Amino acid sequence: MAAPTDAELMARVSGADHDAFAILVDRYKDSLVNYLSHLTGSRDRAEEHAQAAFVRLYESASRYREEGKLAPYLFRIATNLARTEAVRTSFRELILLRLWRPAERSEQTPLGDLEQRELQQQVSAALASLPVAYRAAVVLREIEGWSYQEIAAALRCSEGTVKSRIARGRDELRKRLRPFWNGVTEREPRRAF
Amino acid sequence: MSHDELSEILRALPRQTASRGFTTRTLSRAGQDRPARVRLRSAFAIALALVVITAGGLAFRRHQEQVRLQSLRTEQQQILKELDELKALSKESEPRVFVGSSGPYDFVVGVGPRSRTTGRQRPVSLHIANDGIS
Repeated sequence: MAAPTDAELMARVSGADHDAFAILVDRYKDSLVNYLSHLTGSRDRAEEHAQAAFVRLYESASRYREEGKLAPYLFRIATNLARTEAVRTSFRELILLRLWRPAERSEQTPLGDLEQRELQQQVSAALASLPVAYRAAVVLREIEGWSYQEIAAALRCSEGTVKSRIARGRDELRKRLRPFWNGVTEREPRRAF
Repeated sequence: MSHDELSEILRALPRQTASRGFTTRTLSRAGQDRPARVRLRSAFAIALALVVITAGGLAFRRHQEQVRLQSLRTEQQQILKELDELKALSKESEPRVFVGSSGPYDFVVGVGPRSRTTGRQRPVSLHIANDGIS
């Protein structure tokens, strides 16, 4: 039996069907938490925002109009929550939190060596230092693998804007990672010998 | 750092997953939060409406008081102005009493200060009505 579509599940959720809602939560929770972790720099906050986003989705189920874009709709709610929080919290605090708490992310993937860990920390820190608009677009494209159209729907902007934000975000990341990246690539030949 | 290298690094970042019990917690929160949120929103809306109505009423009352005060001030200024005019008039013009006429002459007695020598009021002006000579 084929898995129910998002539209079918949302129709059931609007009738207060908790089982259908549970399926939706299970379907999107990991990608949403991962996205929000990069956006907020904190796994705990990511989970809080993800829960709040799902709750809002549940509450607005009766008003939801199916356009085949549930994921962008859900991620838009989550992005708005993260943005609201970013306004409340200073940007510097977010960066520091990100730098000081890198161990939060280390439990999921076994890390090869110290350089790899360092590189990931630097990349995460550089990503966290991007403006939220760039960060959201870069994470959705590069990490979540979304299409430009889906990202545009989630961030409520045109595809052109999405492409521009991603390009600028990549440029910023390259600039911020250049000193570290040069150091890594210079050390590699020495290690090989 | 090339475009592909950057993409590769970003994709290689460790993925976060939802913690155990996330779905259960979310479901219970969705079940509980709705009435609480609705109640909270309703209370907030009512409080906001009360504040707006009270503030509007106070502002209207204050405006009315200001209008009334302004009107009183204008009236007071008008009275003071008229009083000043009367004072000036009383200083400028000498009180006169029309005594009577005889032929072409009108006899008008000015009520000025009394004579120092006689102690009587003396005529201070004579008005001849026909040729306008005083």
